[in-house]
Formats: sequence, C-alpha cells, structure tokens
Amino acid sequence: MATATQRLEQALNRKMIFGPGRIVTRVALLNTGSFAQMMTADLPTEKSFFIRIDANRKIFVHVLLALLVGFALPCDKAFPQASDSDQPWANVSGRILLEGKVPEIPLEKIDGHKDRSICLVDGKIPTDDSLVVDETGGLRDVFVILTPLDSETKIPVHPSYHKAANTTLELDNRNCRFVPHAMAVMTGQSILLKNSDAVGHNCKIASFNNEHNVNLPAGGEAEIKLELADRIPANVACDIHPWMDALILAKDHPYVAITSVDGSFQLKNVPMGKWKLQFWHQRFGYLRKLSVPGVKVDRKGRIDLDLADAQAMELGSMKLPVSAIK
Amino acid sequence: MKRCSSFCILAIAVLACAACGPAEPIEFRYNAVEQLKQERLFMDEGEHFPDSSREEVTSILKILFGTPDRPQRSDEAAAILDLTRLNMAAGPVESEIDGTPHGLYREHCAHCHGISGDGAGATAALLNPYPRDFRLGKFKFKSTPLRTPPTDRDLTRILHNGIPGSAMPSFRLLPDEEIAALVDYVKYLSIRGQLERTLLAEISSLDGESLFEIEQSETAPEIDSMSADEVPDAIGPEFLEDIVARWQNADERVTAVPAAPAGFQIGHADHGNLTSQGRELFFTKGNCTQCHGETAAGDGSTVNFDDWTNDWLKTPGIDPYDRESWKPFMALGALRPRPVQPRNLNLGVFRGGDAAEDIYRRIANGIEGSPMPASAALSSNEIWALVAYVKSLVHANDKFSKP
Ligand code: HEC
Ligand code: HEC
Repeated sequence: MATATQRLEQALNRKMIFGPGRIVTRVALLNTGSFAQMMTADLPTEKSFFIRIDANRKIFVHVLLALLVGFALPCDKAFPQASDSDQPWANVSGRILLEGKVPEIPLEKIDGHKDRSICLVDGKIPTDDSLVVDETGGLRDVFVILTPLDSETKIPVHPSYHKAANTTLELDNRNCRFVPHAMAVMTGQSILLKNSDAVGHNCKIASFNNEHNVNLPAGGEAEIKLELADRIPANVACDIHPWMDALILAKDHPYVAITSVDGSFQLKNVPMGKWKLQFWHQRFGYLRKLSVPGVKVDRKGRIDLDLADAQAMELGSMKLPVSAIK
Repeated sequence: MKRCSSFCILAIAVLACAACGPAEPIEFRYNAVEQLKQERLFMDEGEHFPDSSREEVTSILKILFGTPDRPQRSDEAAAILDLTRLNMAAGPVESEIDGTPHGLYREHCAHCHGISGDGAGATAALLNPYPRDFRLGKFKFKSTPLRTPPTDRDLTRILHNGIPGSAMPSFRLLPDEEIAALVDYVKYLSIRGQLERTLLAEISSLDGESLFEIEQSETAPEIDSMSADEVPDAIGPEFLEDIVARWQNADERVTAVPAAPAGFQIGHADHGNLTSQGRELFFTKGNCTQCHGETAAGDGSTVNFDDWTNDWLKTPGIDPYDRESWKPFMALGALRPRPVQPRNLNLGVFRGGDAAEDIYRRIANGIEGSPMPASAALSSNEIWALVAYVKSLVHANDKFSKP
C-alpha cells in the first residue's frame, strides 16, 4: 500500500494534466490555497483528490475517501466507429426560415470613404450582409456543423471528399465586399485570397486558433491555410474598409454546410452513427431558439442526429424567431 | 511635456499609495472582460457563468502559476521558464543580503503593464498606444511571423531599446540577469493569461456547467496494477502544453532576412534605382498608400482598432461608436477603444527598431495585433526596395529640417 501511495503521489506531483481521460492535479493540496478551501466546504480535510478530464473535456474532481487507497484511471467510452469503406452514408438536408418581422437592413457605411466609387455595387451602396433573408423567410449563411458526441471521436470521411480537401477555395474581394460572405474549409486546405478591385485591401482573419493578415494590392492574390480547427467561424475583416466582413470556419472534417439564399442546406454522405448537428449564425450565435419538428434543440443550438440506415434524412422546415438576434 | 509631467505626478501618487496602503496580499486580476465576452458570445441575454467559475479558474491558475508574490512554475513550462528568474522578477521590491534583487516587475513595469500583465496598470489609460496586455500572447515587434510568440532575443531587445515613439522605456541600464528575469516574467504572465482565456473558453463550451464535478470514488481500485511508467504516460497536459510548445518553438520560426541587394548601400550606383523602384511599389503592388497615404504621413484611410481592443469590441451587440454598448466591458477593466493610426513614415521613428533588417521584417511579416499586413506577394528584392524607399523618406526629411 505504501508503495502505491508513493507512486501516486509522485505521479500526481509530477504534472498538472489537461486532456481527455487524464489526471489533473496533485495530492495533498487540501490545506493550501483557495482551491483547497473550495473543496473543503463539502469534504473532510486531510483527504486527497485528483482531477481528470473526460473525453467530453469535462473536468472531474475525484475524491479518494480512504486515504489513497488507489484510484481508477477513467476508461474511455467506446463509440461506434464504422470503417471507412463498407458503410452506408446518408444525405442530411433541411431549411431554416426566419419568423417575425425582419428588421430593416442598414446600408454599408461607405459614404465619405475615398474608395466610395469602387465600393458601389451596380452603382448603389450595398446593404449589410450579416443578415440576409429572402422573401420566403429563408435565412442565408447559417453554419450547419456535424459534431461528434465526444471530442475524441473522429468522423469517418466519405471517399468523395478526399479530393475536395485538396482543392483550393476562393475568397474574393469585390466591390469592397468579401465574396462569399461565409465559407467552410478543412484544416490545411488552401484558400486563395483574391482582390478583384482596383483598390488595395488587407485581409485580416482572426479566430481563437487562427490568424492571418494579408496585404492584398489591387488585382493581387495570396494563398493561405487555416491550420487548426475552430469552434465558431473566424472573423475576416479589412482595416481599410471597416464595413467589410466575412466568416470562415475551419474544421478537421468536411461536414459543414452553409445555408443558401433560400435557407436550405444539404450535408452529403454523412457516415452512419449517432451525431449532433449544430447550428450557428453570425447574428444569433448558436441557434438555441430554433424549432425543429419533433426534435429538441439544446442550449448550444444542437440536435441529436441518429443515422441508422436512412439513405436520406430530411429535417424539413425549421423556424427561428427574429427576436433571437443578439 | 505636459503629458510627461502629469504622468510623473501620477507615478508618484501610485508609489505613495503603495507605501501607505494596508498590506493586503496582492492577487492577479481575474479576466472578467473575457468572461463577459464569452457569456455574450455563447449564452442568452441575462445568463452568466456559474458563480463558481471564477474561483475554479483562479484556483487552477494558482496551482500552476502561484501568486504575484510567490510564483510557481509547473513542469510543463520548465523548458522555457526559470524559477530563479521568476523569483527575481516577482514579489514586492526588496533585495536579499547578498544583493539579489526581488520585485523587478513591480519596480519597473507594473505601473504600466499591471500586476497581472493585463496592460492596465495605474498609468495605462493616459498612454497612447496603451501598454501591452500580455495575456493575449500577441507581440508587435519580433522576428517571428503572426501567431508565433517572440523569441527571448526579441523580448530582450525590446527591454534594451524600449519602443521609441511610445511610453515603453529602455531598460538598458539594468544588468543582463535582471533583463533575463524580466523576459521570463513577461513570458510567465503571457502564458498564464493565455491559459486563463483558454479555460474561460472551455467553461463556455461546457454549456454553463461547472468546470469541476465532484465524483466521490469510494472504491478507487488498483494503482498497483499500473506500472510506474504507465502513470506519467497517461498524464499529459493539453492546453498548457499547447501554449508552451508554441513559445518553445519560436526560435525555429524566425523569419530569415536575405542579404540586401548591393544597391541598398547609400552611394552605390544602383541606389537611386532601387529607391525609385521602392517608391513605385509603395504606390502600387505594395499597397502602402492605402493606409500610409501618398506622402506616407499615415493619413491614407480610416483604420480599425487593434486586436487587443477588437478582442472584446467585436462581440455581438457592441457598436464601436456607441459608448453605452461597451460600458459594461469598461466597468470590468477594458480600456476605452481607440483607433490605431498607420505610422507617419517621414519622422524616422521606428518602434520596432530602425535597422534595415527590422524594417524588412515589419514589411514581410506585418505587425501582429495591428492592421499592418504581411506582404504575401512581394519578392525579397521588392521588400528591400521598399525598405530603401522608407529609409529615403527619413533622409529626405533630414535634409528638409536642416538649415
Ligand atoms: C511608462 C509605461 C511603461 C513601462 C514602465 C513599461 N512599459 Fe512595456 N510597454 C509600454 C507601452 C505603451 C507598450 C506598447 C507600445 C506599442 O504598442 O507600440 C509596451 C510594450 C511592451 C512589450 C511588447 C513589445 C512588443 O513587441 O509587442 C513588452 C514585452 C513590454 N512592454 C515589457 C515591459 C517590461 C518587462 C517592463 C518593465 C521592465 C515594461 N514593459 C515597462 C509601456 C510601458
Ligand atoms: C492596412 C493598413 C496598412 C497597410 C496596407 C500598410 N501598413 Fe504599414 N502600418 C500600418 C499601421 C496601422 C502601422 C502601425 C502599427 C503599430 O505600431 O501599431 C504601420 C506601421 C508601419 C511601419 C512602422 C514600423 C515601426 O517599426 O514603427 C512601417 C515601416 C510600415 N508600416 C511600412 C509599410 C509599408 C512599406 C507598406 C506597404 C508594403 C505598409 N506599411 C502597408 C498599417 C498599414
């Protein structure tokens, strides 16, 4: 017993751990520091504890009631993991409609800028494109993101995407707007930043995990990559024309759809299994107020997606109240 | 001049207060601005993190980094932080019998950069640009590209030279080991701040639940069944390790500066040509006039805020020009948003150093945290031509100002 205790103590003292299924802190902290005090509210002193982070990145504090009897290493839950080749795949589709009176969309703040004439679209000042709704209520630029139940699980990728990952996507600067306004890329996939305007831009991309600031002279272009996956899209901005903005979401899989002008989306060749589908929009954040017939939407704008043998999963029309705008 | 004297009075007032105030233990300031931002980004109006979050984050950071008086260095950071140095820089200002100083950071830096390195020390609000907030891990004047931390050499240089044209002074007179201690302490505050932000983001991803969940495992089995080697293997810090790894690899990511073309030498037969090529590029492919203006006076066009401000200012529902909308952030310690100006290049003041190599790297890599972009499409000779032109603006100015 003594050797086990020593070993545990050693191991725990050696490292702080942050990572799935791992132990986080050291023993014998109970009488020091505020962390310890927080623990002692519920616990007798002199007891030891350790912390692990489970596969969902949730941190658990384990309290060993007997003084270091030993401890259990958390075992990772097993998830159904289909092999790439012989499994069926399904297409998932739906449509997102805005409900309620759409607020008036303001014009971009172009007036007074020295590049005004070049920034007009068909001779007119364009409207802000952070909220684009068609006459039927279809909401453009909602990111529809397939997420595993667990951060450890890798989503199997259909062979049809293997080539797509090596194609270069384009983000143009045209009439002082980014075209397209919203895009999804895979980590490491090339993005060609283009400037079709007769004036210079800079293209500044910033997210929690990625950053670029590219000088784009008139007619110029440059290739970049986003190397790390993000939770929500990166902001794309131009410092020279402050009204310009766009969104790019980098994920380590190709299953991100963006709603088109009528609010519809389709995710093709999604692997069978239990997943979540998450909805995010620039002006709403996670679409927690989305109503999907017969399905519960959680606080992170996610629904359960259980693909058993369906070849196609049609989620139908989903309604989102205008009042949920942030 | 006026600004300087009000700054001095304030500094004296700060020192005086420190001397007379009650001896409360000095704590790192919690990043409440980041918490509010995360709440606005990921929760509904009126919803907040659980009350326990603040204590949880503070506790984890305390375990890993200690306090302003007693720094800790976790093993993950051992490769890049030296505990002896941290002890020299941390704590109240005093020295040991053998003369070893303590409290260098509080003595030389905290009134501007803040005890926590949040860039919001007592004098910060008066300065333009604001002192650096180290917690984002972003630095402007370095030899590495965007999203790569500065090398120790870069930070040492900043401390030696200061940042001309800003309030950041030179600490040239400090002995080398004190500079080294301060460099480590800047990295320590920066890594601590980055981990704090990461933990807060993690809390928001946990759906408003607590970071800790107490599970009482009464029958915890079998440590004996694990071999001694297995245990450390199972233990691998993720967030902190990621952050530390980026700092650790900075040296390998230094942007190489190729030799300048012969014509770069003033007096060389090709010098005039190179400079006029640079001028041409400044107006065309270099895109420089868009921000710096045709006379390079820094009046090209309106520009945005810097990254330290944008970090919270770009939260949904905030309008940079509507004071009311950002008041809640200021109440928690954010500094008033101030737009950044492109540099007036005629003045000959280069904040990141006026050596040709420095200006080369500014143009090649851009200036992290600011609108100044990295040149993606310019060849190294084109960049050298731009450096020659930028330098010629200063010489032209010299001539101009001499009688
Ligand atoms: C009088 C105020 C003041 C004091 C004192 C001060 N700084 Fe600064 N510091 C600044 C300002 C202002 C900036 C930002 C300059 C800019 O953005 O151009 C800065 C920037 C920095 C940077 C960032 C450099 C970069 O490349 O981004 C570092 C590192 C730094 N200071 C370290 C220190 C250290 C260490 C000390 C103490 C030894 C110190 N400073 C003392 C005002 C101060
Ligand atoms: C999108 C706007 C923008 C563009 C385009 C731009 N700059 Fe800048 N530049 C800035 C800003 C803003 C700063 C000040 C950054 C700071 O210190 O915060 C700056 C600073 C500088 C500095 C000062 C560096 C120092 O050490 O003080 C130089 C030199 C410079 N720019 C040269 C150029 C050249 C040459 C080009 C063209 C190749 C260029 N810039 C293009 C915005 C821009």
